[in-house]
Amino acid sequence: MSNYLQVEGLSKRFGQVKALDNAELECSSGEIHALLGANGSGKSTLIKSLAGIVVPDQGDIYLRGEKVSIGSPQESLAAGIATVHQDFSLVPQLTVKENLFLGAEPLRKLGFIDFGEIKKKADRLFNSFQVEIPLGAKIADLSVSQRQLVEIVKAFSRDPDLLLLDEPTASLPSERVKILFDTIRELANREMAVVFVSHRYGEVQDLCEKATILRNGYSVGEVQVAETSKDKVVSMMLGEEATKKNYGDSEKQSSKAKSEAKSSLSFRAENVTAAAGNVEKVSFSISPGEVLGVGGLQGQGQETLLRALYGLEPTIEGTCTLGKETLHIRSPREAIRNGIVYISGDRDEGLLHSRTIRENISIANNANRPLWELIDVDQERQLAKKVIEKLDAVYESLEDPAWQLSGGNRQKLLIGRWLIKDPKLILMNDPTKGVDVQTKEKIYDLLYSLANDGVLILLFSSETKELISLADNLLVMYEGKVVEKLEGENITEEMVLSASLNTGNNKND
Amino acid sequence: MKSIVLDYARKNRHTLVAIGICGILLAIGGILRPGFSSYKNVLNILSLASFLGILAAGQTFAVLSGGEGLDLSVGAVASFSAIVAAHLLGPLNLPLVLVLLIIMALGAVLGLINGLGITYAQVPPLVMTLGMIGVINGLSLVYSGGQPTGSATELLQTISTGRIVGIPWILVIWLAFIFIVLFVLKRTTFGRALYAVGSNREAAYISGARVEIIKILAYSFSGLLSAFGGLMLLGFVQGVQYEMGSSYMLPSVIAVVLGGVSFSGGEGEYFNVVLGAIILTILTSLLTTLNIGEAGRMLVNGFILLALLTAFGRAEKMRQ
Repeated sequence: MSNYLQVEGLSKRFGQVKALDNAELECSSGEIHALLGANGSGKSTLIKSLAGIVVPDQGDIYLRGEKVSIGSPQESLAAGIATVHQDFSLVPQLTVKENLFLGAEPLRKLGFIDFGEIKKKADRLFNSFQVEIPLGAKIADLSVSQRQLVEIVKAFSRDPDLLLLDEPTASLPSERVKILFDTIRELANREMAVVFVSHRYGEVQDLCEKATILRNGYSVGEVQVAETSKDKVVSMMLGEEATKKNYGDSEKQSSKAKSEAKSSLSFRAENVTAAAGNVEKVSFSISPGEVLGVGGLQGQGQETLLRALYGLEPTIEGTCTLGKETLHIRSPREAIRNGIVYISGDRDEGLLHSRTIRENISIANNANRPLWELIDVDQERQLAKKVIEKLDAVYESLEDPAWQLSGGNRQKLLIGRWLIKDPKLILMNDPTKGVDVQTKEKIYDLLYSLANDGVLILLFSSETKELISLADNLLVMYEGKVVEKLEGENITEEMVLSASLNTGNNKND
Repeated sequence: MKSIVLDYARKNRHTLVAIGICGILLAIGGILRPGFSSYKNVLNILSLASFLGILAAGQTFAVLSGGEGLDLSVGAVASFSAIVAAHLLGPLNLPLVLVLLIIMALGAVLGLINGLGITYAQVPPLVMTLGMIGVINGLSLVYSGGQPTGSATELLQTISTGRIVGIPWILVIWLAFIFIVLFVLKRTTFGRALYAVGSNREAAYISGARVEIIKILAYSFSGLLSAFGGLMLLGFVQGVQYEMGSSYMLPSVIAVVLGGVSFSGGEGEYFNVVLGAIILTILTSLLTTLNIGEAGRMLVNGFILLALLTAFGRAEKMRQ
């Protein structure tokens, strides 16, 4: 049977963003089909559309040549589709057993759940994976890789005709990956259709015959994996225009930050390892006037690295030095005391919504003073005014609560509050997330002027383009490790993506 | 000039509305029962309101600290401290100032236990402080051996019920108390940090605040102020009984909500809580004047709380 699954003209908008734009996908029974694309190209949205989590605005989905509409996860399951989700679909409070059969409990007469049957089936599945996870354990108590396996077993237990795998190997050790691949091949031999999403190109080469490549929500094309090369795939993922345009940008702007720095303090991090395991032995240094970027694919530990340096994530290893001083940072308070500040693009993380603009700025001072000290409101007001005018924030009164401001202005508030502390190192965690173009420009300008003043900047941005144009040098992270350091003015998006995909290759060899 | 007035009105809407409600309730009382809104009776009502106002101050600290902050043990702490104070003042004959210090330290320790349980053992505030009621009432029994002894000394009675140039002493004390509480909340770094932690715990932590210590302090303050309230109550009632403060538990919560202190934390003014306590006391005396019994008053209190929580809950949602 050919073309078990056929997706035609699938489109989905989230507000202003086109997540899917006429996406196409074909997959036959017994085929393992790869779905490739850069960050934000719509892979996950496409998978979620098939899983019934996202309802597309337009387009058709055919199964066995018949048009189907999938409006909910239940309908997706009923159509014979099972999904391994990237961000897991497990309920942390329930046990492994309960999760495996959630929504598909084998019932006895009178509607009671047949737990005996559940146990038998679950045991069989785990045996085939050669894993020992107690069925009675709560998901919350399992490690990430164990959860990943439960997620996979859960999908397999539904005996689907179409299996969707959204980065199933992201948190699996390599020996399990091998077992997983053998199982997938075996299932494909039994006429199951499989759609496989992975950033590891090596795995795609290993497992898939054909691949569909997505860019900005539409399908650029389908390739025979054996007949193409990684470079070709990368350029299809990015498109020619995009890389070229970006090149010019980066040259123009990074030279701006290169001018003489006033301070001579530099920052070094060695072997930083987060307790959570998603940052491993990361070492780097930032010299005066440098904007160092951390990039790579999404969720490779970049944010955890920044949070760990700020004392927000526990570390089990690593030494940091600022100038000649060795730092031991276990909390934000200690970081701030040492001249390190953290700016998050997640405004819920930093904003005191119900408090005034004035208090939102002075908190940077007030949170770090002894509790019995008195507050000089006039001084507070002057400080707030100075900061907010420097950033051109639009506001009515300093006494208005912060929630009344627009998103961009809230972001200015979050950045502005740290200017009153004269920081030595600023950790920026996606500072332009979801802000308008003018605010972005303003933030860029500020970043350059800070760098010019000798402030060290470690920048993570979810937009690789932005990162390339702002950063002087760039660390590419993959699975918690720095896999490559790109230097100089000629960094391209292609180089970043290529560095990430390379590792996938090596790892599987 | 006009815009300044309007601006003031907009920012202090809550205060103005509360004052308006006080006026309306007094007017209704005056019409139904002549003499209800006389100068003398208003002073009486205000004196009664002061005990609630003091306990509601403790409640304010707890609710401001956020994370479903709540201190149900304010009444129990007040009761216990009244029993201990009566014993210290009567049979032991200690000076009032010393007793005041001992009682407030005692209250602070009880509040500290609440704070430790809530921050470090992560017991929800509702459960923690509810549990503490049992513990504290048990302590009362153990301490008094089943028979509370002693009573308020003359000096304490004068403070709680006497007058100076026609004005009740307790009102003078409450005024000073209000000033101190407002000062702590508005002009100290602790107060600022408390609002910050209540408003957004994560943000306060990222900004360098020691979130746990601030929360623990908030509950300690709650205990300390409640104990002070208990001492004043002892002077007012003169004799000592078990659980004499427990009837203030629910009203203290209502006064806080009436005062516009947000249950999500980090928002609201003690001054408005004072007005909330006054409104509630006027209402209670109005109901008493109209010969509506205890059961009726409890019903009214319960309904007010539900109505307010519904109204504020909606406002919260509309904002987001």
